[in-house]
Amino acid sequence: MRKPKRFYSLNRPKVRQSWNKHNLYNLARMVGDQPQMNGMRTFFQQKWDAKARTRGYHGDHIPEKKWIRLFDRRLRSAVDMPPKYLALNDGSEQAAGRGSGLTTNQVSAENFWATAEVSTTFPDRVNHPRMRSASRLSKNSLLAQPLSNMTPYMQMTFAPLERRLDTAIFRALFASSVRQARQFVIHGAVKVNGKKMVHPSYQLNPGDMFQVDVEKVLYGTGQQKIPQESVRFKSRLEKAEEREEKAQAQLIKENSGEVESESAEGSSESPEGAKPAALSEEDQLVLREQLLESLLVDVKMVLRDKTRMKLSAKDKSRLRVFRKSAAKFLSRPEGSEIDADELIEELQSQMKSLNMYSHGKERGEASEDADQVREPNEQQKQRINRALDIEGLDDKQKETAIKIIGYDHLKKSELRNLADLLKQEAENPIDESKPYATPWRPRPFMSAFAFIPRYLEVNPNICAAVYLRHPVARKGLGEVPTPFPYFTSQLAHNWYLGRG
Amino acid sequence: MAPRICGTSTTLASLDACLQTSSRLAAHATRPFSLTCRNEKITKGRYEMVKWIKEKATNNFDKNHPTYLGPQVDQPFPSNPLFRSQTVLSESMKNRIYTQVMDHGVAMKAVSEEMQVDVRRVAAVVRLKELENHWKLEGKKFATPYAKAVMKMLPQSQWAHGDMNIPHEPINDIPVHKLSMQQLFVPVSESRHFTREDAAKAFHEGLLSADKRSPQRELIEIERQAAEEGGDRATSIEEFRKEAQEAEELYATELARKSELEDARVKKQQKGRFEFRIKRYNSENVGKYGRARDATGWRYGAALQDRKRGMVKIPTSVP
Repeated sequence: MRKPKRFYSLNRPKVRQSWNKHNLYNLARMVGDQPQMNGMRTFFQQKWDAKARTRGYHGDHIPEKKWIRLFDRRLRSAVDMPPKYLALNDGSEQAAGRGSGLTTNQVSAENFWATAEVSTTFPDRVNHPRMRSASRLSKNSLLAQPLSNMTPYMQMTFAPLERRLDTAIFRALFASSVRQARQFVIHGAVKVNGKKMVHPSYQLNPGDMFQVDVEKVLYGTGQQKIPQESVRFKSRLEKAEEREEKAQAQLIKENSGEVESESAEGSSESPEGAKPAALSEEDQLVLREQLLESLLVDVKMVLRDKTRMKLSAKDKSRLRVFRKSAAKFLSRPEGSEIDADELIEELQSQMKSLNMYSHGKERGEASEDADQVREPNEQQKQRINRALDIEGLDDKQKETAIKIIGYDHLKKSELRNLADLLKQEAENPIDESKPYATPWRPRPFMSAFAFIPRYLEVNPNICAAVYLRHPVARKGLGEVPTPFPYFTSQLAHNWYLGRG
Repeated sequence: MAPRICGTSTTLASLDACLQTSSRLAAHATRPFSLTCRNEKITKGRYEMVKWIKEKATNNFDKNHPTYLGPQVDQPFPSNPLFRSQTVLSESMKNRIYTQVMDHGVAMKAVSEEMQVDVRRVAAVVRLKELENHWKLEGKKFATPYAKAVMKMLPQSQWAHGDMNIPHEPINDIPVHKLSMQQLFVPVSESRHFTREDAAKAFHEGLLSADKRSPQRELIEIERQAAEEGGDRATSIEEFRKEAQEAEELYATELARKSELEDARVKKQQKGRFEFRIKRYNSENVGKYGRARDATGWRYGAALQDRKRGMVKIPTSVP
C-alpha cells in the first residue's frame, strides 16, 4: 500500500515500524500510550482509535481487507513446565480441597522457574518528561498493576503479521523499516530455504530459514552516504600522490643532474619518458629506497606512537593511503585488491633487497633493542629527513615526528602488527562504489531499536535467520514486539472480533 | 490560482518586490522558476524534537552496549512493559553448540539440556553455522562490521562450563492447547486424587496431559529417578545422553534409508549439461473428481483454476 502523506507526523503522530528519528522521538514521548480514561468517549470511539493507532504500526503497508483475513481470534501462549516440577508433582496439589478453612500448599510450576526475571522497579532514568507522568500515579498505571502477573494474551493480537516474511526481516534487524524489508523481498534479495522468494506476504513456517543479501543489509542498516566524505578522502589520496610524484621528480632531477652534468643539458627537456633510461642502476636503487622510506613514514607514525591506545580516524586514513600507495609502489594494476599478508610479504622482500630490513632476532626483544641502539648513519638520517620533507612538515613538526618514528628500520614484529591492522582495516574498507557510507557504521539511534524476539534465531555474520516457532504469550511477557499497552491492544482486538 | 508565496497572500506587485528585495534570491539562482520560499520558521513541534534529539538522544544511544528508551533497562517500548528485549545467544555459546553437535556428535536434546537452550534453537544454530562454514569455503564476504555492531547492541546470554549459569530460555515449554482454553467446572469428590491426567481428560477425551506433551519427556523421568531414594542424577543424565544419541542416530539412519529408497525410484540420465530424472507416474491418479492437487495434465471438464481472479499463488511452504 502507498506510503501515506505525513508518515512521521509530529502533530498527529503515529508509531511506525521504522528506525527513523521522528519515530524515536514519538516513542519517547509516549505516543503509543493509551489516552487517559475520562469517560467522555464511547466504547466504539475508543475501539476505533485503538484500531487506528495499532494499525499505524502493525502492517500499515497491508490493506485492511488483507489484515482482516489474517486476523485470528485464537491467541497462542505457552507455559514453562520445568521437568523437575512435572516429576515431583502430579498436579493433584493444585486440585486439593480448599474448603473448610483449608489452605493448600503454594506449589506450582512457577516455583521451579530458573530463567532470569524481567526487571520491574522504576528507575529514575526517563527519556522524556511525559514518560514519568505516564508511568506513575495515573489511572492507567493502577489498572495495569495486576497485568504483570498474568499472561498478556491481548498483546498477541497482531501475532499473525509477525509470520510475514517482510516483518520477520525487519525483526531480525536486516532492514531499517518494514517497507524497506518489503522492497528487499520484491527486488529479489531474499531467499527462503535457499530459494529466491519475491512475495513479502509469504507466511513463514516454523523452521524456515531466510537469508538477505549482505550488501542490501549493509545498505539498509548502515549510515547514509554523504557525498562530501568520499570527496575528502579522494582529495587526501590525491594530495599524497601529488606529493610523491613531485618528490620523485625532484629526486630524479637531482640524481640525473649529477649524472648528466657532464653531458648535454638540453636533453632533460623530455621529463617523463627519458628518465628511467637516464638513471644509472645505482641511482635507481637510491630512488627506490627513498620512495619506500617516504611510504613507511606514515606506518611508523601509526605503529610507534605509544601515546594513543586506539587508532584515531587520522591513523586509519594514513593506513588507507599507505595501502593504496604501497600497491602502486609494488606496481600493482590500479583498482586490484591486494591481500594484507601478501602486501606485507612483498614489502618485506623489497626491504630486504634494499637492505632496509632490521633483522631483529626472533628469540627475544633484547636483541632487537640492541639493534635499535646502534647509531644511525648519515645516509639513513638524510633519507628520513627527505621523506618528512615530502610529507610537507615544517622543522618543528619534523622534530616531533622523528622523536616518534626514530631513525631505525621497521622490525619484524612491527610488520606483523601492521599486517593485523591492515586486515582489520580491510574488514570495513572505504569503498565509494557502495550505496552507503563507508567504512560501514550503524544508523544513528539503531541501538534503541535493536532487539531480536525469541521466536527468531539470527546469524548476523551471513545475514540469515531461522523462524523457530510462532510467537507466544507467557506469564508477564508478550512476544509480539508492539509499542502499545495492554488496553490499547485489548480495544483493537475487540474491534477485530467484530462483536458490537 | 495565485502563485503560492510564503506568508499571507500577496499581490503580484508585492511578489515582484519580494523577488527583487529577497536576499534569498541568490539561493534560488539554481532553480529560477521556483517561487516557493523555504519555510525558515521552524514549527514548535519540530523545534522540540530537534532539541530533544540534541539533548537526549545524540549521545545517549551508545552503540557499544544495549540502550533502550526505557524506563526499564531492557524495555524498548516505553508504553509497553510487557515486551522486553531478551538476550540472544553469544558467539561463544553458538560455537560451543556447534562443536558439541557436529564435532563431538552429542545429541541435540542433550546439548539443549546441558546449556538450557530450546532444542529448536540448537538445531537452528547448527544449521546457520553450517551455512556460515559453507560461505567461508566459497570465499563469500561476511557482513562482519554489521555483525559486530549488532552483537554489541544486543543483550547476550553467556555460558561457562561447570558454572551456575542463568538458563537462556525454558527448555520445556508446553503450548497451551486450544481445548484447554475454556473454563470448566468439574465437581469431584474431595477424596479423589485428581491429577494432570484427569484434568486433561476433563477438557477432552483426546487431550494429552502436560507430561505427554512435553518436548523433553525423558528429562521428567530423570528427575523422578533422581528424587527417588538412592537415585543419582549424574548417572541418569549420562544414561539420558546415551539414549538420546542412540535415538538420534536411529532417526538419521532411517532418514538416509528413506532418501535412498526415494533415489532408487528415480532413473537418472546425464545428457550434457542436463540430468534427466525419470520417475514412474500414474496419470490416472486424478482424485475422485479429477481435480486432485498433484494430478498432471489437462482433463476434460476439470478446468484449471490457477488463472482465476482471486486465486492465491503465493507459496505456503518452501521445501
